[in-house]
Amino acid sequence: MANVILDPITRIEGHLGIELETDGSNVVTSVQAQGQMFRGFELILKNRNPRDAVILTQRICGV
Amino acid sequence: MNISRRQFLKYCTAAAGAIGLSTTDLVKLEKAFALEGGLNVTWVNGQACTGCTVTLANSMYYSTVQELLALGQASTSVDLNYIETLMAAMSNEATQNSEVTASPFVLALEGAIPSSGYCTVGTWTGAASEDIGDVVTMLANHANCIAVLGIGTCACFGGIPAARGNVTGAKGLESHLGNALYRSKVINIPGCPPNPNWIVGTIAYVIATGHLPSVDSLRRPRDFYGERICNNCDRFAYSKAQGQTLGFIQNSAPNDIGDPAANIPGAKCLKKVGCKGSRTKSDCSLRKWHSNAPLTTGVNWCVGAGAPCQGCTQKNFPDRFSPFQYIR
Repeated sequence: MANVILDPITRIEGHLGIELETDGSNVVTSVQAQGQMFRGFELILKNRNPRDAVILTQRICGV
Repeated sequence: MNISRRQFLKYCTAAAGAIGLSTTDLVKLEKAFALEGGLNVTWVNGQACTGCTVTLANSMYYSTVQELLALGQASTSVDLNYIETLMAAMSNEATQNSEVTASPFVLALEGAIPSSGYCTVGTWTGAASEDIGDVVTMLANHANCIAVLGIGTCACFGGIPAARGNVTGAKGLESHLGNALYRSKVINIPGCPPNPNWIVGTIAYVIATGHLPSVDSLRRPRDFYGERICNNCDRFAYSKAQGQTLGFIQNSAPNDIGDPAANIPGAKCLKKVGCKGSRTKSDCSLRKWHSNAPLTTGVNWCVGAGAPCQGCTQKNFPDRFSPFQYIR
């Protein structure tokens, strides 16, 4: 039984952490992935001029 | 399995054909990202879109850093010890690598800093995944940290994550670090994203001179953010020469909006469709973007391509300039 935490995962865009458990023969029995960053783009877009969405939403991901 | 950066570059070489890199590009990439002995840069990501990492990667076209700034000083290298999106190491192997803080380093922050729980970046000193704010505070206060660079408008002033409707408590370095630390160590390089030359040029300046560059009231290097966009804008100059400073609408023709291929003469000022150049300081209009060779200006820039300036290098972007199409 081993508990392995991979946090942060690199070479991806954004923040990701993985926590997994293995059994005695190194077989993965359970995995949990977390997206670790939240900005709330939907809430920031509320009550704005619709044309602003073009300029704001292009900044969701820069890769 | 451990993969060193050098091995990673070997993988890049093997895959170069597939991803469209030339041999020269790879040599330069290796120089910029893998040479030991340069100034250490630790690059951490907060609430970011990673666009600033991508813009940094664009600087691989330059063979040396000092030519970006025309410093005329000896060449030196930038050693990225920690950069999540590009480095091979991950997990605690990366965050608890003693090399990161063992010698003098520059801390580069990309993205805004939210309240606890909205952005965690692995275990640096504690037991659980830590908030970006704690990691930035820890690194910025480290005795070996010689400068803190705010990369992009989010890191400097909060940017889009800190815009109206922000529920995460996002803010920039200015509000996060104490005033004394902010005034002594921080250099802001705003932009959405910033031009790669602004980033590497600032790092090159710190390496070459050993001190921070001259900054304006927003702590931006004067070399790059010294003048208003309009001062060197070809559209503004043309419209002014025609006696129509706001000439976009009066005599409308397709070329007025701007054909990137036509690149300027005859293209008019975009103020009436919401250009914020008059309230924005940067050298975009001179330096331009996507330069494909050292010491040459870039291919084009927002206003050159007919897209009104959005004011992305200014504090309080986007709220101060929104709605973007309005003349204000």
